[in-house]
Amino acid sequence: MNRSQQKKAAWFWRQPTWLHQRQPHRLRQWRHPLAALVLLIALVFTAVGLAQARQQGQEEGSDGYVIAGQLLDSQGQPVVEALVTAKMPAEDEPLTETESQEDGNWALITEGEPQAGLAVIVQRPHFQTEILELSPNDLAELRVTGTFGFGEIILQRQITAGFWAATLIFVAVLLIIAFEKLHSTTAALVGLSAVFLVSFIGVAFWPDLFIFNFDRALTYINWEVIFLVMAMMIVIAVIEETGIFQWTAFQAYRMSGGRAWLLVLILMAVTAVASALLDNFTTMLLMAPISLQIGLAIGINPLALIIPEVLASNVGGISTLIGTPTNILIGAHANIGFTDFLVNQTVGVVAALVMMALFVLWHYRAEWRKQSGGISPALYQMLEENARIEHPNQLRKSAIIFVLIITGFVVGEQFHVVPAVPALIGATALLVWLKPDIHRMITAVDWTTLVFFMALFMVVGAVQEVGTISFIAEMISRIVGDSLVMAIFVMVFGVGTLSTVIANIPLAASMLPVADFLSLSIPGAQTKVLYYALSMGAAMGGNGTIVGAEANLVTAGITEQAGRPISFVAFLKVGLPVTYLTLIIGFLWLLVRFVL
Amino acid sequence: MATLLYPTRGGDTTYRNQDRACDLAKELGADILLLYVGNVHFLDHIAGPVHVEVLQKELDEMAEFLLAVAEERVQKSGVKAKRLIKHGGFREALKETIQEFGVSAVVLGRPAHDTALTTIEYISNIAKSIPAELNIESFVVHEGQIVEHYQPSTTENTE
Repeated sequence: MNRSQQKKAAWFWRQPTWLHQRQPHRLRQWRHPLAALVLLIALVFTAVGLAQARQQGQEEGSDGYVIAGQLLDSQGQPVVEALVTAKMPAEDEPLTETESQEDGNWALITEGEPQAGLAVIVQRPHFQTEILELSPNDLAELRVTGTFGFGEIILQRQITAGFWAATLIFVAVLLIIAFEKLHSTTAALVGLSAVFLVSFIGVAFWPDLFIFNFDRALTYINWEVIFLVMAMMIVIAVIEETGIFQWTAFQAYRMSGGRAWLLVLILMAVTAVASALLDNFTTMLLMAPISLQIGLAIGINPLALIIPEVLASNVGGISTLIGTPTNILIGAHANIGFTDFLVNQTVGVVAALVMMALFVLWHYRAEWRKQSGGISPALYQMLEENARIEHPNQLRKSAIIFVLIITGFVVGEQFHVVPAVPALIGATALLVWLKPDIHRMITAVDWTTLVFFMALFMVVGAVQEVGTISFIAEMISRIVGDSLVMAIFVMVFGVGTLSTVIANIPLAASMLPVADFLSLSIPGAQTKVLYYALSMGAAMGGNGTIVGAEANLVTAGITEQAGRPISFVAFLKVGLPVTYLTLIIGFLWLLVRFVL
Repeated sequence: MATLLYPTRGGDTTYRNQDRACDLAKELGADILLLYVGNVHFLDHIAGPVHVEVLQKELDEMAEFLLAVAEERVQKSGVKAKRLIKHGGFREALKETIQEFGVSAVVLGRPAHDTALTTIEYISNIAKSIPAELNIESFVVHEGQIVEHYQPSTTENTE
């Protein structure tokens, strides 16, 4: 398609937008006559536009005819990069060809008078080839008006060898991560390499093995997530050096007056808030060592403080966009902002934390009676020293920037500024203001995590490409039907249960397209409630087992360093009941907020 | 003054073994050197934003506190104690310390739980290798009892 043809095609598709323009609120009583008027104007403009397009083509020496349509999959999602060709039956070479765009639209412009037998062929890996022959009436319309629209064309999925290959690779990656056979990043890279090996080398032996090419794989990386995570890592790296976490934990110890039951409640609250504002992983990384010392100081099993903390950190992070990696994924994918998470999740999260606190107080009741008479003045002094604020000036400056970043998140939403932008500006401002060693700061960015995200996006993209995710989405859709309550239930409890054993980041990444489909097909789901359900399920489910969340694993690693390993069963005994109690609360909250 | 090396991570299951180490120190007329060997190998399987320097500092402070608690216990039993933190592999850190401080005997606590780092076999193998390689006595204690004892002249368990 040459430039003038592309212009014409683009113009052709811009016309129907007149139909979608919203009417002002004060004219609502006139909406029916106005709608008719708008429709009429739109039709006139469309007709004029088509005529202009044809005229323009003729003026430029090309008497082209426009054939257009939109490609959708069986779930109503646009099918992109499909090869669309116009062909006469007797000819080997196509008359013209094009590719479907991001919204699934395509437009072919043929030269010369359209002849009987003209057909449009749509080809796309992992879909059945569609041959659309123009009937005599269609041809007549094309000859008279110069345009013909097929409207929506539903392409049917085709199960290929590539489908099985991509699915097996994806499952293998999940298992490798779950059983800790390799580092998560290595596992994702191994999966990605396997996908490319199958796509590029396997295909030479069996073309049916094709999954996707490199360019297509890159389109699955969500760069907004990468930049937001990277910027927040820099900000957190500055804040974590200040000792604010340790100082807060020590203040909690002092406030509690040595009463362990009160101390655990304060520490849970502190951890939940810190996790919501920073991230649950870093929070536990810094809270666990000092909490362990405090536990020893008051003479109880430190795990009675630390396990409730990690449970609270996994749930507390749900209430903000930046609180958990899964929320960052969900927010960037579904365009859910900082305020949206705060408004729609916080009450549910607080209620879940209250329920969790009650259970924890009951579960560890024997520990609260075990308290010793305290520690020696020398040990107390050492504890106080370990919990001091290290760099007050750095803390003050980073606190100011952090507040500005949060403000940027909130204000930016009004101007369609994605959260990665204020985060990146804030991180840069911190580097300029504090002038830390830039090499040290850059090494503070955990590149393994960023590479993990990129590789994971592409591996999940592979199963999206071949249709595995669509298959799962259709299966869930059949189970839930048109019931929004059922869909929320499945999303909260299904994802929550899976998340107890499957790492929640890949799980959330692979469930996002499922939430897309259900949000489109179920009445009332357009409020994005299913994304909130996914957020709750993925994060709360992480509390089920020690392998359910990265924060759990890092906490277990730290306690093991202190000769107090957290066994799988010990964690399960408290984590699993807490998981289902909090999932129930989260589910009920979403019903109250979005359904009732 | 002789030095008896007792590596510990301060877990509550080690208290009885620690008491046994104190008794041995008294018998040998030795001081106790409390050794904590830390490493962050547990991060190898975790994908998360870890500023290793910061975490290492926190773990060192935690280790100082754990050793200080142990030191108080040892000193209460009438034995002098010093504390030392090292990083890296347990076996290497142990040998390095023995050579650096002229240690005359080593008491190793048998792990109450098998973790990725220490298992009963792992500790037993180290205890066997110490007399042969470094020419000092080694003991393995469990729940306050000596369960393995190796002397420089033999790699057989004399318990």
